[in-house]
Amino acid sequence: MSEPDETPSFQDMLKELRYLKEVEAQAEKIIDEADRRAKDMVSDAESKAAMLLSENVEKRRQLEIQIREEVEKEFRETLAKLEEDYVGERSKVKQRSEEHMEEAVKYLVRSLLTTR
Amino acid sequence: MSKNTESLEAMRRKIIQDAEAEALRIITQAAKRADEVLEVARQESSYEEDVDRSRIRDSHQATDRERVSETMSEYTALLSSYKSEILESIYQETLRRVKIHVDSEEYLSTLEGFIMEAGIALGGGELTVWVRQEDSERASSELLARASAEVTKVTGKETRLTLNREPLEALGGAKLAQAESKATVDNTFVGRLKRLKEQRESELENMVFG
Repeated sequence: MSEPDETPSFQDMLKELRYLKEVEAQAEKIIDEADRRAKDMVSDAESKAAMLLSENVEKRRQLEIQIREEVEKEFRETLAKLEEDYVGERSKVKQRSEEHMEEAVKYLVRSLLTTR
Repeated sequence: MSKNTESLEAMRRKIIQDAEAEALRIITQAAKRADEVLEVARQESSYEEDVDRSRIRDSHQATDRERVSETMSEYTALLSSYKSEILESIYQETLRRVKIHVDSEEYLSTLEGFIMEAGIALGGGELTVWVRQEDSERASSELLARASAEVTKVTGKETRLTLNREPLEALGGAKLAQAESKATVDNTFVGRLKRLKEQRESELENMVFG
């Protein structure tokens, strides 16, 4: 290095330049390392996001199965209720018609034989 | 330390500081971007779950509602068909009992009533009467004369009933036609029953099914 108040020699200037180049290389290294870490961070987040969405697809599939089963169960219960209602109603119709058949036949015979 | 050395050291510090500041900016920006990516994924996941739940349920329920509605229609049709069968059996039993009446002594008076009723409905005049083969032997000229007189009396129109020799295919009763208007009245039991069904079906259904 040159002494104070002395004009630096060519050799000194070359040394200083080399020194600054080394510093610049260090600075580039710091920035490259930051870039690498930044890329890793984003890439890691993207992987996690993809996993989250993939889990979501599986969750949706399971949800679809679960809801389909729930709705199918409700449907079967509704059908069973409808059948039960029908059987009950048919039985009521049968019983009541048996009770009133004689009355209806007599009414019809009377109506058929009666003239105005 | 010389001036040059100090200046050189200051430059080194500045370059490294700038690089560290840039590195910090890059890392901070990346962290922000990573947070955004994860947040979007989280939002999409939770949003889809809520929407999917109601979408899937709605879609299955819509299909099932159609199936339930079809099943209800089927049961309604079955019940209606069952009621029709019952009513038909009642009509058949009615006709069976009418047949017993037709074979009895009282039937002739019923037949006379039917002929008079049909004659009045036609408004009297020249009327042709069709009855069964067996009835044409029983329907005497006296019966027709009595019926003619009654129709004349009620309608105020001179009436003559003439028996057509062509036999009527029926359980019993009579069919009449007016010569002028060509109008006819089917007063056989089956014809009367048909009219009864049309006029009093709901009354009969109420009686039988409540």
